[in-house]
Amino acid sequence: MNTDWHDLIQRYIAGLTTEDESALLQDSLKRDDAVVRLYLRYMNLDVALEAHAGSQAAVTEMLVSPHQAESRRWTGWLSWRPLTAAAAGIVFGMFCTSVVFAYVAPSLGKAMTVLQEGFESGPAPLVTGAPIEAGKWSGDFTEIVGEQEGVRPANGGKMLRFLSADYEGKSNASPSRTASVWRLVDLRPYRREFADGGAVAQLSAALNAQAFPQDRSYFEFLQIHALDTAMVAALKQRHRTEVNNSSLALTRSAGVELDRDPATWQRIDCEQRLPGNADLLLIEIGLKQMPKTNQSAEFAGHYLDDVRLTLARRPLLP
Amino acid sequence: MSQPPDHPQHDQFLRLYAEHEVALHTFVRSLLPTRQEASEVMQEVIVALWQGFASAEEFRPWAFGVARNVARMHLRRRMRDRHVFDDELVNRLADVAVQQEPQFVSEREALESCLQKLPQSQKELVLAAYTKGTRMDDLATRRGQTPMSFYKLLHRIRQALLDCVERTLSQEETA
Repeated sequence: MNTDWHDLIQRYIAGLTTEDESALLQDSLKRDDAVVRLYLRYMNLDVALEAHAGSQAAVTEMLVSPHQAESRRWTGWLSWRPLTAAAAGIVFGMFCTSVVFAYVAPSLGKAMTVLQEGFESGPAPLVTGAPIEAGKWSGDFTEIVGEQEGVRPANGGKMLRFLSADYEGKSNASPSRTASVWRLVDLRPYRREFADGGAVAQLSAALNAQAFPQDRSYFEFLQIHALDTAMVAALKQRHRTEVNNSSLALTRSAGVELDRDPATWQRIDCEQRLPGNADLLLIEIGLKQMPKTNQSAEFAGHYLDDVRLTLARRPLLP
Repeated sequence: MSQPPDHPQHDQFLRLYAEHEVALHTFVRSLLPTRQEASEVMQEVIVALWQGFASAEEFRPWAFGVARNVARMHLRRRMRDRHVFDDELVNRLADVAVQQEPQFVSEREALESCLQKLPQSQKELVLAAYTKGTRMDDLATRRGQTPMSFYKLLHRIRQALLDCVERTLSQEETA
C-alpha cells in the first residue's frame, strides 16, 4: 500500500482523519518502527512549534498592549504554569524571547537601571571564563574596538568584539562553539525593590556581525542566573553545572539567528522574575555557531554593544 | 492541593520540573490525539507530580511514569473513540518516546535554525497556526484560502521543517 505517512500523521495530529484512517495509523504504529519514529518526530515538532508560537504571541501582546499583556502573559506554551504556581506556591519567573527593543512598561511603575554598558570606558573584560567577583566583565577572549570593517558601534564609539570560544586556562580541551561574556551584578543594594517577589530583571543586548560564510549560522542568546552568596563559591571553582543546578532561578532566551547585514544590530531581551532571596545575578551574553564542527567555533567579527539590565516592578501572580 | 508550601522542596521541585518540562510535554503529546488534550493532561500531570514529589532521586523516570499513567487514565475515559490509541500502542509509544528523548532534544535545537531559514511569510503562517486560541478555519479565511488548501500548505511547511532538521543534524554528524 502506498500510504503517504507524512500526510496521514499530520492529518491525525490535526484531528482530520476518519475512523478508518486512525485505525490504519494505529495498526501501522504497532507493526512498523519507521512509522513510530516518524510519528514521534512530528509530535516533537508539534510541541516545539507550539512553544515558539507561545513565546512570540506573548511578545506581540506585550508590545501592543502592556496593560492587557500583564494579566495575560502566562499564556501559550507556559499555559499550565499558573496552575502549578497556584497549586504548589511556586512562582515561575521565566519569560525570555527576542524583541525589537528593550521594553519597560510604563504600567510597571518605577524601573531602575542597574547596568548600562556601551564599553566606552573601563577595563577590557577578563578572559578567565565565568566571573568570580561582581562588577567586572569576564568570559572568553574578547577585545574592545571602535568601528571595524563596516560595523559601527550601536551606541557611542566602542563595542566589544568576540575573538574565540575559549578562555584563559580553560581545562576542557574539547572544541566549543559558544563564545560568551559574563557579569555578576550585586543586587543586595536593591533588595528593598524585589524582596517581596514582585519584581523582574530585564536584560537586553545588541549584537552584530561582519559578513560570515554561507555555511555558518550564529545564534545570539542571553542567560540570567539568580544566585545567593553561597553559590558564588561554586563559580570560583568553575563548577558550571553546579551553578546551573543550584541557581535560585535560571532563565535562558531562545536563540536568535544573526542576520548577514553589518548595518543592523539585532537586539535580544530576556526577563526573569526575581526570587526574593537573590543576592546576585549572573548574566551571560553569548553567540553559538551552527552547525557543530570538530573544531572550536570561529568568531571573525562578531560584536556586542548596548547592554542594559533593569529592575522593574511587576505584580505577583495570583 | 492541600500540601503546605515547603520552600526547599518547592525549589527542588521547580528546578527538576523546569529541567524536564519540555520532554514531559512532548512525551504526553505523543500519547494523545490533540494538543488541547495534551495541555489538559499536562495540568493533571503537574499536580500529580507535586503531590507525589518526595525526592530528587530518579526524578526523570518517576515523572515519565506518572505522566504515562495520567495519560492512560485520560485515554481510558475515551476508549470508545476509534481515534484514540489502545493501551498496547500507548505503552509502545511511551517506551520509544523515552528512548528517543535525546534525539528529540537535538531536533528541537536544530528546529531553531530551520525556522529562521523559512521564508518570512511561511514562518509567520506556521507560528500563527500554533498560537493558542487560533482557529484554523478563521486563519484560512483571513488568508483567502479554503481550510483544506490551508492545511495542505501547513503540512508542506511542517514536512519541510522536518526535512531541514534531519539535514541539519546529519551535517553536524558528518562535520
